[in-house]
Amino acid sequence: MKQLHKKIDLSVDIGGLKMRNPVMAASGTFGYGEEYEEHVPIDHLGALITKGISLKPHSGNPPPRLVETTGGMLNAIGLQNIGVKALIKEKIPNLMKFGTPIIVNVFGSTLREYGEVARILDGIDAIKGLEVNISCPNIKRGGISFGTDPRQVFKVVSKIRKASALPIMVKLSPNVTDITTIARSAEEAGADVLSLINTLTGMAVDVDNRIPKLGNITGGLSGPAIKPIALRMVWEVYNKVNIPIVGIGGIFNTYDALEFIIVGASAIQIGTAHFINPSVAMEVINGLENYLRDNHIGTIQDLVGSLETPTFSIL
Amino acid sequence: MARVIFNRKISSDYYRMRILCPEIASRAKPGQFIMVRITELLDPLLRRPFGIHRLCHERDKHTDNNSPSCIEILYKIVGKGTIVLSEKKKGEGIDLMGPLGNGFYLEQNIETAVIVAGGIGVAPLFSLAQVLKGVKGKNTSRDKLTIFIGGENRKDILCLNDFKKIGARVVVSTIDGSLGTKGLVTDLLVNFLRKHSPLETKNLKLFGCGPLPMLRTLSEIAFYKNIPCQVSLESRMACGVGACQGCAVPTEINKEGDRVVLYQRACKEGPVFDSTIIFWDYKSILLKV
Ligand SMILES: Cc1cc2nc3c(=O)[nH]c(=O)nc-3n(C[C@H](O)[C@H](O)[C@H](O)COP(=O)(O)OP(=O)(O)OC[C@H]3O[C@@H](n4cnc5c(N)ncnc54)[C@H](O)[C@@H]3O)c2cc1C
Ligand SMILES: Cc1cc2nc3c(=O)[nH]c(=O)nc-3n(C[C@H](O)[C@H](O)[C@H](O)COP(=O)(O)O)c2cc1C
Ligand code: FES
Repeated sequence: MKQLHKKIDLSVDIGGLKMRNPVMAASGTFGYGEEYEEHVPIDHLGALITKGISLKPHSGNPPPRLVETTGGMLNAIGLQNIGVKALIKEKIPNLMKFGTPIIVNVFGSTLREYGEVARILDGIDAIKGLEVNISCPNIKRGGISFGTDPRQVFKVVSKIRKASALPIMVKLSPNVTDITTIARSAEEAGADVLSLINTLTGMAVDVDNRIPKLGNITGGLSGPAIKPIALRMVWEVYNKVNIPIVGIGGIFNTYDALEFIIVGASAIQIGTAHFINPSVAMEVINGLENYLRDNHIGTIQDLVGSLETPTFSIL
Repeated sequence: MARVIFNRKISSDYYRMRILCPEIASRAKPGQFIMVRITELLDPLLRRPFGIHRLCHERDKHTDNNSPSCIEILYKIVGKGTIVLSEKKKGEGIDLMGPLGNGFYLEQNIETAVIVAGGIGVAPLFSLAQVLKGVKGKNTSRDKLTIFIGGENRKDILCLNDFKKIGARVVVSTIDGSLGTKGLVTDLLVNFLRKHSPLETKNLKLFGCGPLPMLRTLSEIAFYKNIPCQVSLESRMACGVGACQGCAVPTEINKEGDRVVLYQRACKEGPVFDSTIIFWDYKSILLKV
């Protein structure tokens, strides 16, 4: 007999991050939360991840900062943010009222800076976790991104591990040759969770004026266009690490979210889709619930990594 | 969901769409904008921003004292999104977010106002004129509200009769001279200011929307003549609500005695800005938007 109104439990606990459902708002696409207050019931989200925060405020890149591309968009915001002190003083008090777990996305341009930001955020009650953006230029190493070198990744994550008792989610860059080696470094250094993917570096050109369409020349690609790549990377990492994974990249509806969960993600983040459809997270939460009910699956966890791969091949 | 009342072609490249959306219309102020979802499919992906052109009712043209139930947008076909938008039919549902941003700042005692519009920049300025006329009463003389409208050629001059009907003085210029005075719309303003004594323009307020070079010139004129001027700027947008920082406009503000550049969000702090705070010397925005 089908039980029609059985309450479905979507709650998850990933690496110490407890959430009422596995759907989070991705960093940089949801501001500091307050911007979407009028448009989204924020208290329904599994968690909210803030815009990337650094020790000092950053003014960001010159415009234009956005370009639409087929099936996606490029952004070159330049990690503009108000700095960790202002976040704590001006934004956290307002965010707390939603009762939604707040995860602060952190970055730095030196190892020390990463550690310092994490230390300042440690012990603030409302903050339930840190997401470490390692796709940032390391100024001590000629601006090469921390996230491309397994040793640098190990150092950054260790530094943060020492500075903070909060659950640590390390956000991986897809702009690498083998994402699994980076993932392993983060795991070894003590990450509790991995989130992937950040944006893919891309470009667009204005042929009339022969100039880049972005003020910063290059930018990060997000949206539906990156979903197949993100899925592949989640699946690869799932087969190599033992900590939970959060899937990100072009999630626009329930089926997109399910694909990530089936290849190994324990939770997901929605970014660009909010711009087009502010109700997307609510739709995905309801959709997941319906999927579990319709398929008689007890919890999200039962679905994680449930991908069945072909067992035979023709020689 | 909001519904299309009509979507009319008004000349080769321009369309006017009236939309029934009481929640938006009743709260909207001139200078604010909406984000339109062009299609339920994902191509084109992002919403498109359009200024609120007119506040009105389903049937009559102009708003009376009842709170308006409709808005209109006036748009120019420039690419994929606006092409798809132009195919929307009467009665179709349309997904809007708004009203967004800060509109024009209107004091109670605006005595004389001059509006400078370049091309499609006229779109949000009509709702401004509607309200300015409302603020001052229907019986104010034409001299109190002047509109300068400029464009490349006569096809780009929109809303002429609409402005006349609400009792504003309208002066036109085109680059090719096909309508009105030949030349730049900002030259009309220069002439106007030359003809009026500083005393006569003491309480004048300037408002502008149009291409960036025009707004820059307008801003310079306002600065030299010491006339308060508000400009509505365009910028690439993704979220429209202040969340992504994508629409940043460089502004110059005073910080402990120094002029520092600060990015402000066109969708949140703008799209209307006091012209003196804009950092006009920004090459990349001059080139692109
Ligand atoms: C606050 C605001 C109010 C606006 N009001 C009006 C209006 O009332 N009437 C009108 O015709 N146009 C208005 N625009 C410009 C309008 O948004 C663009 O013409 C439209 O987005 C073009 O879309 P497209 O797909 O046809 O063009 P495409 O060039 O194919 O668009 C590609 C991308 O660039 C963006 N884009 C292109 N041109 C502009 C532009 N000038 N400003 C901002 N983004 C742009 C698009 O939104 C899209 O993301 C306004 C812009 C802003 C920021
Ligand atoms: C405008 C914008 C700003 C972003 N800012 C950040 C950021 O500050 N820190 C970060 O780790 N990721 C940032 N991202 C990346 C997103 O969090 C996400 O990883 C990426 O967009 C892919 O997901 P999506 O396709 O669902 O958008 C940003 C993305 C966008 C579009
Ligand atoms: S468009 Fe996103 S902040 Fe303005």
